[in-house]
Amino acid sequence: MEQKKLITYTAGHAPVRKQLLLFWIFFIIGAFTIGGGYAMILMMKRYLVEQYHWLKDEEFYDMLGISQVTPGPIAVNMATFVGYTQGGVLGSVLATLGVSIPAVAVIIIIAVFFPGFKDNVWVQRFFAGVIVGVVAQIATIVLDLGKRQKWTIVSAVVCAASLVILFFVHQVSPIWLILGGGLIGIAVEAFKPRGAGTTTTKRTS
Amino acid sequence: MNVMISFLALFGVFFKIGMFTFGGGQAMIPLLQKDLVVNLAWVPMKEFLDFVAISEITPGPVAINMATFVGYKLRGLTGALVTSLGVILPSFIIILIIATVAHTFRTNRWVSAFLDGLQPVVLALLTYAVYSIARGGIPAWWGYIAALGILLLILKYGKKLNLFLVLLAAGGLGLLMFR
Repeated sequence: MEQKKLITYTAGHAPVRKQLLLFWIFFIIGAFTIGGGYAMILMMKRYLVEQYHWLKDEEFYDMLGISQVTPGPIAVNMATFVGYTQGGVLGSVLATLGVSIPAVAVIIIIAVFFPGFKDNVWVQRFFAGVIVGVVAQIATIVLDLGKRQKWTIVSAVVCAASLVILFFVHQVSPIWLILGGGLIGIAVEAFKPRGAGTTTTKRTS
Repeated sequence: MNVMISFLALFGVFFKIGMFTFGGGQAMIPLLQKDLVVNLAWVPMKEFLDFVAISEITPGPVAINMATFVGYKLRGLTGALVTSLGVILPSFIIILIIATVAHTFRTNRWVSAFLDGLQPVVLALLTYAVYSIARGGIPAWWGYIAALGILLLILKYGKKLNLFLVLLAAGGLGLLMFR
C-alpha cells in the first residue's frame, strides 16, 4: 500500500506573498491571544487548516505534538514549524518574528509608559473576562482532539493515566509524560501481530 | 542593581532556559525564578512576581513577555531584544532541524507509532491546561457558566464565529460583570 505523505513540503519554492501572509497570520495570532501558547492553538487551526488549507488536521496535530516534545515556547515552535513547511527558511523566520514581535512590543510599551498597568482594576477585569474566552477555546481543541483520537484500550489508559498524574502528582514535567506516551506507542507497534503492522499508520480523519 | 550585566550574560541565561525547558512558557517560570532571583540575584522576588503577572495578562507567549521584561529592566531596549532573541533561538533552531526531516515523519513506521502514542498525552495536557487556566484566572462561578456558553457557541457556529471578537466580547463581559 502506498505510504501517505502527510507533511506538505513546499520549502524553498514558496511565493513571496505567501511568506508575507505567514508573517501576518502569526502576527495577528501573537497580538490577540492572551494567556500564552495554548490559547493560540484554536486560532492557528482556524487559519492554517480551515481557512487557508495549508495543513490537514492530522498534520496540524502532529506539529502540535512535536512542539510539545521540543524545548521552548509552544507558540514559537509552532510558528517555526509551520513557517518552514509552508515557506522555507525565510517563512520560518517571518512566522517566528510575527508571533514574537507583538509580545516584545507590548511589554516594552507597558514597561515604558504604564508602570501601574497590572494594578489597574479595569485591566484585571478585562483580563479575567478574556480568560473565560480562552478557556472555552482550549476546551474546543480538547473536544476536537478527543473526537479524532483513535481510541483503543491503550490510548484510553494512557490518556487517563496522564490525567491522573497531572492532577494528583505535581512537579512532573510534561516532557516525561509525552515521551512515555510515545514509547508506549512504539511498544504497541512492536508487539502488533505480523501483517497488521506497517500500513496502519493512517489516522481516521 | 548597580553592576552592569553584560549582553552576553543576559543572552546566555535566556538561551539556556529556552534550550532546556520543555512544556511551553509556563514551565519556564520556576526556572527563571531560580536563575534570576536566587542564583544571579538580578531581579528581586517582588519585581519578578510582577513580571509574571503582567506576562500572563499581555498578548503573546509568556516566555517572550518575561524575557523582554527582564531584558528591558536590566539593560534597556537592547537588553530586551537580546533576551527575547535568546529565549526564541533554541526553539527556532531545534524546530528548523526537525522540520527539514519532517517529510519523512509519517512514512517511518516507528516515528509514526511514536506520534500516535503521544497524542493521548497531548489531549491530557490540554485538558489540564483548561483546568489550571480556569482555576487561576476565572474569579467567579458564573465565569465557568460563561465559558461553557462560549464553548457551545463555538461548537454551534464553527467557522462563522470570529475568534478574536469572541475574546474581545469576553473581555467586555469581564469589564461589566467581574467585581
